[in-house]
Parts: sequence; C-alpha cells; structure tokens
Amino acid sequence: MTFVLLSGIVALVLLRVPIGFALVAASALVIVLDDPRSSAVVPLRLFHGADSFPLVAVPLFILAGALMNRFGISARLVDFASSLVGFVRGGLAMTTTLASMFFSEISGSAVADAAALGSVLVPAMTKRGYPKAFAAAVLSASASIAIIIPPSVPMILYGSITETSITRLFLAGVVPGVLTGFTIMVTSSILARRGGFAEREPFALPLVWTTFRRALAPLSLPLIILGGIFSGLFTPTEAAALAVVAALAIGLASESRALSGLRPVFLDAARQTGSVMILVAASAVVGWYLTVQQVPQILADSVTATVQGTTASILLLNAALLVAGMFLHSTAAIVLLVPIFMPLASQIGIDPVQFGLIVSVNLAIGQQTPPVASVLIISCSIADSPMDEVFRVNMYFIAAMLVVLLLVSFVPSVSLWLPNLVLGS
Amino acid sequence: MGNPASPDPKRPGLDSGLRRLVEGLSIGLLAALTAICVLEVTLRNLAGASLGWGDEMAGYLLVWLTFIGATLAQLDSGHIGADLVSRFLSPAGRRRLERVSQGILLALQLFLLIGGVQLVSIALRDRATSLPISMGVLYAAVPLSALLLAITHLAALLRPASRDRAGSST
Repeated sequence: MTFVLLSGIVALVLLRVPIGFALVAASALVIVLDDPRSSAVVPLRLFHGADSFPLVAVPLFILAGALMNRFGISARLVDFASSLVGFVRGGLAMTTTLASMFFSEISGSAVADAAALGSVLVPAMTKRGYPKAFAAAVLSASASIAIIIPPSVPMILYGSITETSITRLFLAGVVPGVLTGFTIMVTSSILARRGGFAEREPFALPLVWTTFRRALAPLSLPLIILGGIFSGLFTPTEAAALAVVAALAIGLASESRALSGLRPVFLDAARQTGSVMILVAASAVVGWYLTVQQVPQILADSVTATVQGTTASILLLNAALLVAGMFLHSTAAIVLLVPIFMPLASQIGIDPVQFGLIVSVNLAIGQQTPPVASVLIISCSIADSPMDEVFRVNMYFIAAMLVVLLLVSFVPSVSLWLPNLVLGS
Repeated sequence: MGNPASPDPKRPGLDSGLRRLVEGLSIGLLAALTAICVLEVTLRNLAGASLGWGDEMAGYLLVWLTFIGATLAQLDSGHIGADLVSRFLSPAGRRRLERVSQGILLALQLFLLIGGVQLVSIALRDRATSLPISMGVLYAAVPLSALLLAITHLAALLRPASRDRAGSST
C-alpha cells in the first residue's frame, strides 16, 4: 500500500494536480482501500493537520511581508543598503544581497523577497550596465537567504512538524544566514570585477544618514520581531502579530489613505496561506499513514545498515534533500521529507535544530535549481532573461552556497553556537 | 509560496458570486485571526491577562483560513504544483491534461464533501474545549471548502473547450 501511496502522489503531480491535493487524493485512496468505512478519517486528519497554534505565525508573517510590499518598504531598504556598499566594486549587486538580508528579517519568504526587491533593483542594475542574466542570478541567490535568516516560514513549518523550538531554530539561522549572504556578496563582487561591469559610487556619509533615517522604521521591525522572540518576551506567533501592526503603522505614517488599499493585500496573504497550509494539512494525512506503516523507521534502519559512517550518511541526506529541492517547492519538500528523514538524522546523531538548518540551506539552493525553481523563475521573469542564461551565472552562487551547506552539515557549532549561547544548551 | 495568477474579472454568474463569497470569507478570517493574536499579546504584556479562549480560537480560525484560502488559491490557479509534463505537450494535449486534472480534483472534493458531512454529523454534539461552539460546526470548514471547490471544478469541466485557458499554472 505504501508503494500505491507514493506512486499515486507522483502520478497525480505529473497530471498537474496541485501537490497538496495530490497528497490528500493518494492517501484517501489507500485509506479507503484499507477500510472502505473510513471516509471521515481523511477530513478529520486534514482538519487537525492545520490546527496548531505555532502555525498561526505563518499567515501573520505572510501578511506582514505583503503589507511591507504594499507600502514600498523595499525601496527604502535598497536606498540605505546602496549608500552603505555602493562604493565597493559591484556595489549594486552587493546592495541586492544586503537589502535581501534586511528584508528577510521581516518577510520570511524568498519569493516575496525576490518580488519586492527585484522590481526596484533589477532595473537599477541593468541601467548601470550589469547584464540582465547576472542581475537575475544575484537576485535569485540573495532572495533565497530568506528561508535561512529568521523569521523563516519554512522553519516555522519544520519546527511545528518536528516539535522543535521555533525560537531555537530562528537563532540557529542567524550565523548560516549571514555566512550565506557574505559568500554571495564575495562571489558577486568577483564576477562583477571579472566581467568588467563593476561600477563604483562615491561614499557619502550624508547620504548614509539620509537613507538611514528613511529606513529607520523598517529597520526597527527586525528588532521588534527578533528581539522580542529571542529575549523571550513574545512567542513567534505573537511577534508575527506585532509585525503586522508595525507594518500597518509604518504604512499609515507614510500614506494618509493607507487603509483603503488593503483588500488586495489581505487577499494575496489569504491565497498564499491557503496554498502553504493545505500542504501542511495534507502532509498530516500522509504522515499519519506512513507512520502507521513505520516507513520512516524502516528507511532509517535500512540506510544505517547499508551506509557505513556518519559522514557518508550526512552526504547521502544532503544529496537526497538537494535532489528533492530541485523538484519540489520548499514547503512541499519540508512537509513531505522531514517526517521521513527525521528518524535517520536522529540515528546518525544530528541535532534536530542543526538538521533544520541543513534542510533550510538545501532548500535555499533547491529553489534556484531547475526544473522547479520558484525563486529563479520569478527572478528571470522580473529581469526578462532566459532561465538557461541566468542559471549559468547562478551556478557560481550555488557553488558558494554549497560551501555554507558543508559547514552547516559538518560543523554543528555553525548553527548551534548562537542558540546555545542565548538559550543555554 | 504559491504563484497566484491574476483573477479573471470577466467570469460571469456562478463563478463571480462564488469568488465574492470566498474573498469575503478570506478577508474576514485573516482579519479576525490577526485581531485575536494582537489582542492576546497586548493583554498578556500590558495587563498580565489572557482571553482564555484566544489560542484555541486562533487555531480554528487558521484551519478555516487554510481551507477557504486554499479555495481562493484554486480559483486563481495559485497552488503549489510541479509543471513537469505539460511543457512538453501541444496546446491540445495541455487542454486534455487540464481536463483530466479537473476531473480528479472534482472526484477528490466530492469524496471530501461526503466524508466531511459524515464528520460534521458525528461531531455535532461535541463541544470545543474553551469555546461554546460545536466541533461539528468547526469541522464544517472541510465540507464547505470541498463543496465550493467541487462547484468550481464542475464548472470548469462543463465549460466549452474553446473557453479553457491554456497554460494556467498550478
């Protein structure tokens, strides 16, 4: 029956059934084949799959990000980042990464980052002579950091599925997130210098001050969100609610009629919540069935019996996650694979928080690798550049991110040092 | 996240009425969820108090938002999917694949509708932990969403092939 379930999911996805509904349909089929009188079990499991207080943070962070987009916060962050690093060779490319790191501390979604920043930065880069493919590749790599740097929606999902502290996961994302941003900036600077399209702007302290003042309100948001969570003042869900209030306040302060344009923002957030959360609910049905059949444990036992040594097992896990990330959206990959791989990770001694970061970095790479590459696709679309050309440049950034992935995988302190320092081990 | 396509404002009759209902519910649920969470955090930090029922209510609102939001995402072709096969098909092949997909989704939603109605009737007398609401009413999110989606898929299947939008992405 497990074979019927897994092959049913693959067949339905190939038939263009959305992944969430493919999961429900395939599991409904095997559950009813097992017991024809159990048709109420599927709606019951679906309902309770979505009923979780920590997951309430998901729509709230999505809404906060959508409000930030609506009120043009991204442009203010871009101006400030540009004034800071614009004097370096390839400065505008580095601005993209830095602005994305700022914006990641609010939005929690890589696609939201790419859309919000790309519309401002890609035209600016092409205007200054950067090739379109390079601009799109920088945007794609930079926006991908959003799922590593807190608050990250995929990390909330991971924490909820594995019952791992979301606060600890958020803290664990800081060092790998900054490291990823740094490696992307170094790579883009080298590529810009080699390609001869590096430009410099004069460094001007008054400009830094002016742009800082305009960006002060959005820059204070990460302090509210992350400071509140890390100090234990708020839960991630409460911080997400406050982020919505703060985003609204910033909007009201800058536009007198800010409230009148909120309908499409709420609809966009509800639509995104529906598409993410139906996957989470559906994974509860599949996860329940697979757990009853003991599939994750059987997989873990067979891998540890076949593959000798922790290093080989970690490399195998990474390879599986990278391949999965190429074919699955990050949400789908987390809800499908984490429950299956978690027992294996535990058996080879990986801390659940560290495994959360291994998953996040893998998926940050996966969302830029075709055929299913949500962030790469949106970046190509904004830059109006063919995906194969962009991917050829993007490979350098992926190589840089693979270095971070190896560090996160084999040096536990890269992810665990900060949460252990702040919260104790 | 999803890749929401632009809604088609020209769809007449049933589609536009259903869309208005789904959009109204989506906005109301998200606004209520946000309001309860803000109220809860304000009360806890400023007055050291709690609504008592806030966390449970937020959980149920999230479930309703999940199903109604998923309905909205389906109306706008905004669900997460993998377009691995249709890119290699002719326009006619893509249309046929779209109809097969709609047929499977219709069957699934009818199954969830029947199972959901059974669940509601079984749980109608059970009460939520801290709220004076029947669990049956709360479970109604599943069959309601299934009914709305079934209508959408049926309407798409009954629509003449010439009006199908080729290439609407999931």
